[in-house]
Amino acid sequence: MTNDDKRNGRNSPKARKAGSEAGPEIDRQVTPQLHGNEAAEGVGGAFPIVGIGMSAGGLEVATAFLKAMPADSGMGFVIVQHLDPTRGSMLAEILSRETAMPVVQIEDGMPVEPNRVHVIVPAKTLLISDGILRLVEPDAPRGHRHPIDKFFSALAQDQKAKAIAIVLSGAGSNGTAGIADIKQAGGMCIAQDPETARFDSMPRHAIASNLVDMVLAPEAMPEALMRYARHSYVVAPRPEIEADVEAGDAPTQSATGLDDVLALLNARAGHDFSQYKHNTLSRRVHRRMGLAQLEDLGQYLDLLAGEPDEAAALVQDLLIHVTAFFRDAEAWEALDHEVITPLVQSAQTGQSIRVWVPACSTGEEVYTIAMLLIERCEAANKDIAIKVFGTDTAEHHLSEARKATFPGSMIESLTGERIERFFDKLDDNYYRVKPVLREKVIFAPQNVLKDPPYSRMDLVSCRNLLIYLVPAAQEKVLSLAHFALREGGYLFLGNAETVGKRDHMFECVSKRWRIYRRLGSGRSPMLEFSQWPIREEPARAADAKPKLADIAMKSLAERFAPASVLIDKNYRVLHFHGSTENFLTQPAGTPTFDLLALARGGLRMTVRNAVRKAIDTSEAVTLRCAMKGEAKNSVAVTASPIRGTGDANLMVLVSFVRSESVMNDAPLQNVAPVPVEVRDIEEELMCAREEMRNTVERHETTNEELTAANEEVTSINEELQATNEELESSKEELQALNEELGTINGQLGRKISELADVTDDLRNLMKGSDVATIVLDTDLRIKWFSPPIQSLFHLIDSDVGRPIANFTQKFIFGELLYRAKAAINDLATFEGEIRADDGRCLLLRVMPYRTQDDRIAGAVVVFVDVTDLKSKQMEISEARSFAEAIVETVRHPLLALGRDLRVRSANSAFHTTFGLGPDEVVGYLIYELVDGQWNVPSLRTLLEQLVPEHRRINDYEIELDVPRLGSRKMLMNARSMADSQGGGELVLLAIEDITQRIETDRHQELLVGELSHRVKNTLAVVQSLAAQTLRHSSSLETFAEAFQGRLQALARANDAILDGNWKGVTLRHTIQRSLRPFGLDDRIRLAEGPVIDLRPQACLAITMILHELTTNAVKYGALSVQSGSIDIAWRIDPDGREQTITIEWSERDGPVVVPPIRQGQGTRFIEKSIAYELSGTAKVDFDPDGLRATLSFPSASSIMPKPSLDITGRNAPSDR
Amino acid sequence: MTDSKSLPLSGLRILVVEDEYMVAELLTFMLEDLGCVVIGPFPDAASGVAGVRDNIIDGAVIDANLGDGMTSGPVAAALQAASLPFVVATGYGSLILSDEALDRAPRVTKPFITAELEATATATFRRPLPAIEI
Repeated sequence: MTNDDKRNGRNSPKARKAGSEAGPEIDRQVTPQLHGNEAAEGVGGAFPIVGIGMSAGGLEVATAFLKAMPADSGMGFVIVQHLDPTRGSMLAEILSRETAMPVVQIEDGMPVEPNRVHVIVPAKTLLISDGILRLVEPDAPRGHRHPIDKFFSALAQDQKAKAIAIVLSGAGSNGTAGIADIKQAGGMCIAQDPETARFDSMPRHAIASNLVDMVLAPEAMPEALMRYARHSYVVAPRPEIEADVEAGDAPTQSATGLDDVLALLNARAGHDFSQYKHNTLSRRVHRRMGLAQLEDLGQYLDLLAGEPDEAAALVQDLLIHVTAFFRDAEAWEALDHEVITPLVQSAQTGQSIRVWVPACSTGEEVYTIAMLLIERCEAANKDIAIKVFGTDTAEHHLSEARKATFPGSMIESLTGERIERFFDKLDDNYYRVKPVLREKVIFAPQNVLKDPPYSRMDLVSCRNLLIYLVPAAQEKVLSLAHFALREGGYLFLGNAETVGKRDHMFECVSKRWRIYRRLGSGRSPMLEFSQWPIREEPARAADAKPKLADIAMKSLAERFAPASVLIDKNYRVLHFHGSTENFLTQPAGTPTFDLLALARGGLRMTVRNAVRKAIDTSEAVTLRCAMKGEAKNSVAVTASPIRGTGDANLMVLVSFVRSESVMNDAPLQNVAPVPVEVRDIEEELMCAREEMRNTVERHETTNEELTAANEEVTSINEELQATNEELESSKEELQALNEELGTINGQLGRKISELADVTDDLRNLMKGSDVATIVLDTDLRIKWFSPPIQSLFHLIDSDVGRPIANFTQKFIFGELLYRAKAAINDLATFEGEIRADDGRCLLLRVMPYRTQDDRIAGAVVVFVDVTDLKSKQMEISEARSFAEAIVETVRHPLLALGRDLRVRSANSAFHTTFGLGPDEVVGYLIYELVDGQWNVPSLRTLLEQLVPEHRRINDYEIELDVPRLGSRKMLMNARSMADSQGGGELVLLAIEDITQRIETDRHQELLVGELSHRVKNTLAVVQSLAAQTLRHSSSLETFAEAFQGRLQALARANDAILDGNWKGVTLRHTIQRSLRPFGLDDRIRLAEGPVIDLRPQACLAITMILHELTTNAVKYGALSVQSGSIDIAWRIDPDGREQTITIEWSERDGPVVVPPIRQGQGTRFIEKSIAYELSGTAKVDFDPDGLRATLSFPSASSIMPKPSLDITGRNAPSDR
Repeated sequence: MTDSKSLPLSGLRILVVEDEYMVAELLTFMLEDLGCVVIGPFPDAASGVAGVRDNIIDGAVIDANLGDGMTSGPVAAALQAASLPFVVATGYGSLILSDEALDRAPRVTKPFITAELEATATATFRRPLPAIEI
C-alpha cells in the first residue's frame, strides 16, 4: 500500500482547479456529497450522455462527427461551444442538416433525450442535474469563463460512468479541467487528434493532462463511443458497494481476480494497491475493460500482462486525485480557528511548530498549512520556527512539490493578498512560491505504512487518505498519527473520514471538520503491530492420527512426569503438560500465555530466575520456593533448556514438583527449631535477595547496553545530519546542474534552429547554383545528389544508396568509377573536361569527401557546365590574338606592364629596337630594362602615380643609350587601362624614337635661315652689282646692258649652285653654265680636266669672272669676229703643301689685241674678286694673238670638302 | 669722295667683315659715303679678328654669316673684349643668331638701305663709350 492515492493528473495544471474554480453551484453540489472517490462515481442515468466541447474550428469537426454517428446510438449529445454572447447562434440549424438526429437548442429545464443533439445557447452557462439541462447566468466575466469545464464537471457529477466528454478543435485549454472530473467520476474522455484539428490547442491541453482515454479523428469517434456504450461497465455496472470506512472489506467475488491484477500491477508498475479498497479497484478495472472492449477479467489480465501501456493507464486511473490550495475552504477556516491560532498563541517565541502532511502529493496542502501558520505568526508577532513536513512515496510528486511552481489557474483562487505575499509571477502564467514560504516546507519521501513515522508533531493533516484504505490499514495510519503527535497535538482528516472507535486515542475538536486532539501520553499499543510477519506457531499434530508409541509415551509422561510447561525464551507458553493448576492460574482479564503472568503467587520470581539461569548456562536449573498460602509445601521449579533447530528456536521446559519432604527435611536437620513462618519468610527473603541481585545485574547490563546504543544512535544521528547536509548540497548542485542543463538545452535548441537555417541555406544554395553534384560513399553508392544531376544520370530520390555503377551515364567519360576510387583511396583529385551527350561541355571534378574529423567518407563528383565559359574563352582568345596582331604591327616599341610595373608583354618592335629577347624582358621591372636607364626619379614618380591615380604620361622625353644605335631621344607615352579581369590594371607604354625627327626639324630650321640669308645676301649682291655697274656706266643704255648681263651671270651661277643643291658644283659645269647664254659653245672649247667640286661661293665668283671675260671677248676679243675661238683648260698643280687650281683662258684668231691704256673695270673686278673670295690671283696677258687669262687659286678655299653628308639623300651630280 | 667733315660719321674708322666680295664692296662704298674710313673689308673671321687687333678703329660692321657655316662670332668677341661698338649686317632679319654677342648687337639687314645703315651706325658708333660697357 502506498500513499500515492493523492495523486491526480498532475501534468495538467488545469485539472487541479476543478474544486476551486468550478463555481459556487458546483461546489455546493459536490461538497456535501463528497465521500471520497466513490462519491463521484456511480451508475448515472439510463443512457450515456456525450458532452462535446469545442471552440474555434469546431463546427466542421462536429459536422464530421455527427455525420458518422448512427442516429440510433441510444446516446444523448450535448454540444457546448464558445459563442458570442451578443449574437444568435445558427449552430443548431447548421448541424441539423448533417445528421438524422433531431438537433435542438437547449432551454432551461429541458431533459436530455437519447438520439438527440442538444446545442448550447449563447451567453449562458450550461449545467445538468438529474438528466435535466439547466441554463444559468455566467458568473465569471467574459473571457474568464470556462463553459465546457463547467458542463463537464456537472455532467460528471450527474452521470458518473455514463458521462462521456469529447474535446474537439479549439483554442485555449477549456475542457481540460472538466475531463478531470469526468475521469474521476468514472466516465470516458476523448480528445480529437490534434493533427486533424484546425485549432489544436484545446485537444493538446486535454491530452497533455494524461486524462484522456482516447485520441481519435472525429470520424472514428462514433465507433469508439458505440463500443464503449455497449460494454457492461456502462450498460450494467456492478451494484455499487457502499463505501463504509468502518466496515470490513469483505472479499468480493472478483477479489480473487483482482488479486492477480494487483500482483501484476505490483510487478509491472511497482505500485502496491493491495490495501486499496477492492470495490474502488474493481470499478476502475471494469472501466478499463470497458475501454478495452473486454468482458472477461482473464482477457484483461492478458492485456495487462502484454501491454505495459495498459498497466500504466490503469495505475494512472487508480491514482486520480484532486488537490488544491485551500480545498474545502470552510474546513480550512475551521482549522485556522481551532488549531492554528491556538497553536501559535500557546507557542513561545523561539519554539517551533511542527506539522506533518503524509501523502502530500504535489504539496498544495503543505503550502496551505504553511501559509496559515506564517500568517498567524505574523499576526501574533511571534518568531516561531515553522516546519511543515510533506511526505509522499512518489518521488515525482515530491519533485513537483519541491519545484514549487504552480499554474495561474490554481493560484488565482487565492486572495490577492496571499498571492502577493507568497508567490512570484513567472512570465508564462505560472507562479513560483516565494522563498519565505518555500523554506518553511520540507518534502521527503516516506511511506506511511512502511517507514517509521515522524514524531513530536503539533499537527498531522491526513486528509482523504483513509478513504482509500482497507480498515486494517486505516487503523495503522491512525495509530501512526497518534504516535507522531505530541500530547495534545491535532489530527486533521478529510470530510469523509473519522477516527472511528479510537476515541480513547483522539478527542473530537470539531466533528464537522474532522479535527481531533491526541489523548493520553503513552504509546498506542496498536503501534506494536508491525509489518513483520507474525511467526507461525508450530504446527499442531492434533489432527494427525496418533501412533501407539506416542500414545504410550504420552501416558507415561502423564503418569510420571511432573507438571510442566514448554515456553519460548519470552516466557510465552507453547504447551502445557500434566496438571499445572497447582502452579499456574489464568489471571483475570485478557487470556494470556505469559508464564510469568500465569504463575501463582510466589512462583513468579523463582520461575523467572530458573529460566534465565537455564538459558544462560544452557543447563537444567532447579530452584525451590515456597508457595504462598501453602507454607508447608515448597515447590521445585526445574527449567531445562531444549535446543531446537537453532538459537532462535530455544525453548525451555519448566517443571513444577511439589516437594514437601525436601522442604520438611531441611528444618529437621537444622539445629534451631525455627518457626515455620520465620523460616518461610527467611527463605522468601533469600529468594528475593537472589532475585534482586539478578535484577540489579541485568539492569546494569541493560544500562550499559543502552548507553552504547545511545552513543550509536547519537553517532548515527550525526552521520545522518552530515548526510543530510551532503544531500542538501547535492540538491543545490543538482539544481545548478539542472539550470545548466536548461541553458544547454536552450543552446541546443538554438543550435538546432541554426542548423535548420544552415540546411535551408545549403539547400537553396544547391538549388541556385545549378551545379550537378553526386556524393558517393566509399562503396561508390549514391549518398546524395543535387537535382541538376538528372541531366547526366537517370536518378530519382529513391536511388540513394544504390551503386553509381548501375546507372547509365549521359556523357562521354569512361573513368568516372576509377577516378572516384582514386579519390577515396589515394585522395587524388581529378579535374577534366568532358562532353555530355547533349553537346554541353562540362568540367568534371572528382575529389575526396572529407568529414569534419578529416575522415574520407567517400567521393564528391561535381559537374560544372562550362559550355558558355568555353565559347567565351574562345572569344577572348580571338580578341587577344587580334589585339596582339595589332600590337605587333605597331612600329613603335610597346610594353604592357602590370600594376607592379613588371613587364607582361612586349611587342617585336621593342625587341628589335632594344635588342632584347622576350625572356630578357617579360617579368622584369621596367626599371631593370635597358641597363636601368628608365630608373629615373621623375619617370619613376610618373609611372608609380599612373595606376593609382589613373594618370597618363604624355610625351615624356628621355635620352637613352641604345645598343647599336647609340644615344637616342625617345618619347614615352603611357596609359593605365583596366584589365579584363577587372582587378588588376595594365599599363601600356609606347616608346617612340624621335632622334631623327629632331634632327630633321633642326635641319629644316637651319635651311630656312640659310635660305633667308642667301636670298638677302643675293639681293645685297644685286644691289652691289647695280651700284658698281652704275658707277662705271657712261649712259643708261650701257648700264642696262652691263647690268643685265651681270644679273644674268649671277642668275646662272645661282642656277648652277641650285643644280648642285648647294653641295658644290663641278668646275666644268660652272664653266659651261657661264658660257651658255652667249650661245657660242662651238667657238669655246673646254679641255679635259680633273673633276673639281667647287664651293658655291667659288662657283659664283668663277661664274662672274668668266662672265666678265666672255663679255670682253664678245666686245673686243676673239668672239668679236667669226673666226675667233676660245680654249679653256684647268688643272690642279701641287704647290707645296696645298694644291692650286689653275684655269687657263686663251683667245685665238681674234682681232689683234691692244693692251688698254688703263686698267678696265672688268680686269680690276676679276683680280679683286678672285683675290677676295678665292684668295687667288688673276693674270691677264694682252697677247696680241689673243688675250690670255690665268686664274689661280688654292683648292682649300674653293673645293668642296669630302666626304660631305648629303642631307637630301641624293648623290652628288657627276662631273658632266 | 665727299667732304668728310660734313658727314654724320666722318672720320670714324669702321672695320668691315664680309665674306662676299660684291657685298663687301657695296658696304665699303656706303660707309665711305657716310664719311667713314673703312678698315678692310676682311673676308673671314680670322682676318677680321686680326683686323680688330691690328688697327685703331671706332667700331665695326660685320656680316653674321661668313659662308660655309662660319660666323663672325670671334670677331664680335674680339670687339666686345675691346669694348668697341659694332653693327651686325645679316640676311637673317629678325631670326635668332646662334652667337649671343651677335644676337644682341644692333642689326642692319641685307639688302642695305642707306637710311637704315646710317641711323643704326650713327646710333651705335656715336654712343658714348661707357654706355656700351654694360
